[in-house]
Amino acid sequence: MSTAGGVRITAMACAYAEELRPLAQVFEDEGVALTDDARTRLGIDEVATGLPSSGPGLAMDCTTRALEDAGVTGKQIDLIVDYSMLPQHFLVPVWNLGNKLQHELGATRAFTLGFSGGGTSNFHVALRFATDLLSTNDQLHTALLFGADTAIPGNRIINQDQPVTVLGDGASAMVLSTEEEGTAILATELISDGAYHDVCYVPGGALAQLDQDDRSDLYRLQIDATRLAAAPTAETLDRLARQAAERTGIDLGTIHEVIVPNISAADDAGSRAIWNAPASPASDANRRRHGHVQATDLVANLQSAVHNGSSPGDVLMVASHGMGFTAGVSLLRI
Amino acid sequence: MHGEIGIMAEAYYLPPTRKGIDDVFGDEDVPNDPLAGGLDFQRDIGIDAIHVAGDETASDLSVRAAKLAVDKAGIDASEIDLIVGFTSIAEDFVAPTWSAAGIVQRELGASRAFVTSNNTGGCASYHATLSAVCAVMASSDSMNTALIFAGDKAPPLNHAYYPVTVVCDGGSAVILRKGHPRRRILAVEASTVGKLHDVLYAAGYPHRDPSDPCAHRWLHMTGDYKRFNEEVIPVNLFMFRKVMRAAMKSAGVTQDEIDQYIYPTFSSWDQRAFCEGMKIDPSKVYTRGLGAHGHLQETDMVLNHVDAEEDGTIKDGDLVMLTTNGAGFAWGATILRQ
Repeated sequence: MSTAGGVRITAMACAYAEELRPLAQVFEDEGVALTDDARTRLGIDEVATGLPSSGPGLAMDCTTRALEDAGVTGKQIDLIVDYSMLPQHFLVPVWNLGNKLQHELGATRAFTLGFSGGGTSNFHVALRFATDLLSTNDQLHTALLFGADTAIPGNRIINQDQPVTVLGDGASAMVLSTEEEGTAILATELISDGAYHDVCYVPGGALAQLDQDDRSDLYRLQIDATRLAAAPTAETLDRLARQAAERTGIDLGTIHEVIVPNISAADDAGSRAIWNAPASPASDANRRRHGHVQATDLVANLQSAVHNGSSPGDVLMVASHGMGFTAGVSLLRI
Repeated sequence: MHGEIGIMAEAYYLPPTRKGIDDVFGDEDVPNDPLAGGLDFQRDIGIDAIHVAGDETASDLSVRAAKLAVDKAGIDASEIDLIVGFTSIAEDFVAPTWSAAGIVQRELGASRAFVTSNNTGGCASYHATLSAVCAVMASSDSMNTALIFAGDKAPPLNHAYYPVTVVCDGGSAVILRKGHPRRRILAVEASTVGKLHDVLYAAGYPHRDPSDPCAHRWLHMTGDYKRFNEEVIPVNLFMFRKVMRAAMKSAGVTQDEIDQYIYPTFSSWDQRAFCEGMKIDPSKVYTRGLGAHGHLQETDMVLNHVDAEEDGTIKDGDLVMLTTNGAGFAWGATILRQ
């Protein structure tokens, strides 16, 4: 898929919960022993922690700053797209934070979209739908994309027997525009495998819990680490990267930097190994400081790449495996 | 912009078990307060019975409808490039973490698709989703066939949305194909009024009250009906006009040219208010299924369109406007050439 319409990212911003809780403290909070092996595999030193109710405030903070950076007022926004992954203040899809943001930002002419099920790859899903809407509708010029994720209380360490990641709290926003300035969105490729729809999910808190109302232990994000390990994530991401390269005529060997989510040091290394991409000190620092904040990781790492060491014309590749279910790759040119 | 995309097939699934409206009102805590204009919610709503899913899950309803649509289209599911859910009430698992689109993909064997669900728009999610899907199809040479679907199963004791409607369980699905000559999508418009985001909502598990005798109220549609009357009703027809006019302008047609309207089956008084407010002949607004099944959330757009085709109300070549509002609050309008 080539987004030939010339849609660009004109501003980005992130916001994190203020308290940076040491990893050991988070493990102690949840009664999990922190082993040297887990510490090394995670590569996380501190975790941004706040209240579950802090999501809307964090979203408002970063969307406001992104709009200011882009020089866009709320009234100029045509489209608001939510790429959050974790449960929100009220039950989605009956309610969505995007509508509350629309009101608070004064985005009176916008309509809202939000996407479910892709994990961190909701970022790519949002990017693709927003880019294509701006490309094909001459009434739409400006889109605001955001994600706001705060962990379920007591549910920061995912897969406690052998921790896969530790969740931080934060939000991020991007402004997309049909203007000529900014980071160009060259292509976004996506693929899903429905067999993995429940590898990463919350088993309670919805219709499936009707007969087990008192099972608060079901209202937790869980990962089936065995099935995740068996998922063909590397092959899938490589295929998507090649598709994106072929559609855009870009040589993968010329990619300036690969941007992946901050799930863990082990996951980061595994993803980079697909393309023999070097480690990113900036991404490493983001992960060590905040933990895994879903798709906000991608925006934070993208900001770091754009502002540190990249030059106009450089091509960046953003990739996420979406825990085996939905994989996404986006190519961007600074 | 969407003139090259047509609806290849669409289908709905209603679970076989029916429940009379008196039984719904008998089982649920429905107020008897009179409505404006001397209307009685229970007496005047115009719904005789609804369908209830029983042991079928919300995902089951989606899968059944999707399979019916694929069969009607006469395609192999492996031809589907994109699957997007547009369910607007509580699902089997919590969104946005999870989407029923994965189950639909797996059960259909739509192996080359990417799948997701749109989680905004309420009952107008049909339009928001259709707009987004058409944009992706129009942008890419490799996106030729898409499936959109919904599956709604109301939580126990939450079929009556006093004072708005009574909801039915069911699923729907639509197959879109680039270049399909029938049911061409000429325009889709959607608009959201975010200040109304918390007029209708479901609180969710973290907000449950363990002392509440109604065990699953945290999943129920919760309405601030004072605000509904004071803030939604006054803008409702204005917003309908806004999206309908925008769709007509985009499609290059006038209101006089619209042959038939597909409108949600909320209640008898809502249908009257729409026709009177919009100055539309009631015979041009298809709401025949109100009595038989009540309101099916976003699926109303699909179900009523299918029924209007099958009973001959809509004919080849007709210009059709599908329009609805939805919690959030959102309004949408789509214009098709049959």
